[in-house]
Amino acid sequence: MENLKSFLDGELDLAGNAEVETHLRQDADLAKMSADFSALSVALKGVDPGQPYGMEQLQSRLSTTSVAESKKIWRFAGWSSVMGVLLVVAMIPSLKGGGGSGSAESRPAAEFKSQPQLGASSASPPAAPLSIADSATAAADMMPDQMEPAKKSETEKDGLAGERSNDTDFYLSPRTKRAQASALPRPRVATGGLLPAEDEAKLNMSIGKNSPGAPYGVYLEKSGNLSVEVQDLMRAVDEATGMVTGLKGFVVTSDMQNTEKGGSARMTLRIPSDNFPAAMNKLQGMGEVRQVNSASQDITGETVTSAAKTRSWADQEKQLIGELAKSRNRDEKWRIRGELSNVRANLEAEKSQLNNLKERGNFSTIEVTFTRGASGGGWAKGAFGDATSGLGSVGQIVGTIGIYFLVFIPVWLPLAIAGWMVNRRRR
Amino acid sequence: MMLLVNEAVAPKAKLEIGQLVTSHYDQVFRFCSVRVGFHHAGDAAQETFITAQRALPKFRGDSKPLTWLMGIALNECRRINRTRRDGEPMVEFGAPTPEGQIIDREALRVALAKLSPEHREVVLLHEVDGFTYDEIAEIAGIPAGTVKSRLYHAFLNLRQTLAPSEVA
Repeated sequence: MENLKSFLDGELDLAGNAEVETHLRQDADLAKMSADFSALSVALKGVDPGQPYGMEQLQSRLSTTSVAESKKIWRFAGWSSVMGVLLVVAMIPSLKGGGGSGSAESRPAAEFKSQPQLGASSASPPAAPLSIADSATAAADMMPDQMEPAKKSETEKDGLAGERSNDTDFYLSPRTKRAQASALPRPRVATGGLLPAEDEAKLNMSIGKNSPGAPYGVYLEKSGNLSVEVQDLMRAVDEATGMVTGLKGFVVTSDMQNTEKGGSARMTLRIPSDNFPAAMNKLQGMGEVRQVNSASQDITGETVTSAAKTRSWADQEKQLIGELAKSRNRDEKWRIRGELSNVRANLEAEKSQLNNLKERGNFSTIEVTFTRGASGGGWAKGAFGDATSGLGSVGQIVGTIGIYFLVFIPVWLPLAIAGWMVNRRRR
Repeated sequence: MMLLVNEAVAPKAKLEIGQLVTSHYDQVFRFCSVRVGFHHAGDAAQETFITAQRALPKFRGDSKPLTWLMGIALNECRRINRTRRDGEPMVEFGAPTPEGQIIDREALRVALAKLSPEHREVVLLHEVDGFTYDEIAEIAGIPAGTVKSRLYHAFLNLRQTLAPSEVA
């Protein structure tokens, strides 16, 4: 009789009430249940919740909460603005057209304009009148990041001044400058007969193709460093020497220490640049590689500059010889001879510099260290090495995650704050 | 006619939290006191009104403000009880009255504590807080028929627990 409770609570309609009343008159148990329910209801009314307190406290809390809410909204708006500004600042380099490349585009002109100043500082030959075909383009092809730091900063300073002094360049956008540079012919060294034709051709060849995979016109000095663990040191040294000779290179230094407990051999090898990858591969195949790294230094700018200076000094020498022949005055002849002597000294120095650069570009250097471990505990050493290497990898991963975490603060922090606030409000 | 149209589209009187506190704080406090105990009732009631203040802009006025408040209070009490280590408190009875002396109060407290949370909730809402079936349905978010059924079975359970010695 589920309606009994509803009947007692007055929640039934008239028909329902009449039905329950009929049952109550006929059924004594139901009547007893009704009496019990009524008694329970009366007893439950006796629950005492106590005297309310805390209303004043609530009213003061409500007033401060409304202020705090508005403050919180303003704080959120403030933080969001800061994050937005940071995000925009972070994106500016990419909006400008590719971060580093934007600044790199302003450097080619800088490099070109710094040439006269370089000349002026050291017994100043006149600026080379583009006998090196388009040294501006050559400089444009240089990788600024591979320049020597001191020179780089100097170039940046000079470039700024140069850009301001040149009206046409000043109004050109970096993109236009780049397009103009790419439209110009690739660099060619013309020493005006100062160098033997064969050398000049070789130099031009090397500028174009000295490094496999490198962009045309880039002149690279390569170096490699590797450490290889081998079973037999003597055999490894012999093999390396044979390999170098086979690749038309030579051994510069060789030093070996061989003891019962272990030993090492260190070799410095010079290999034609074209054979550099092959040599590195062969050396790595001689044992278990413990460490390997290789690097390239761009010396295109230095080479082009040196060739230009050589040509300039040669021109000056020719001019002075002509003047000397025409001169009738004894004092003037002495003066010209003195100048000629200086010019020739500079010319020789520049030629040797150019030859040195040629050498650096044509031959790469490989430093290789062969090691032989102690005969016992090989597996333990290997395991230790593997574990150390694993730990290094884990550290690298953690570091990478940490860096990403920091760099992406402008992205995740506003989201986290918004999520936290939504969660707080919902609660 | 124009007047009727204006009345129909006129926005409902805007509720202010200050008015709600003044008119309903005592009821909300008692409601919370029964569920979380006297000592925590102040906190529960205050949190209820703080939450209500935040939610007030979303209140559409479909239900009575009191039942809306009690819904919030019920959730707040459940949250507080969830975080308590000593479990839900037992209800406290006031000074005995002649009508209420038929049933042993201590036995009734125990019997109430033995009820399932759903049954105990409807009993408290109806018998102690005095809400109708429809209001209980609104506060607890269940159909009115379920309220009726739960209340009947809760009373049956109470009677069984107390019988035969306690219920006269």
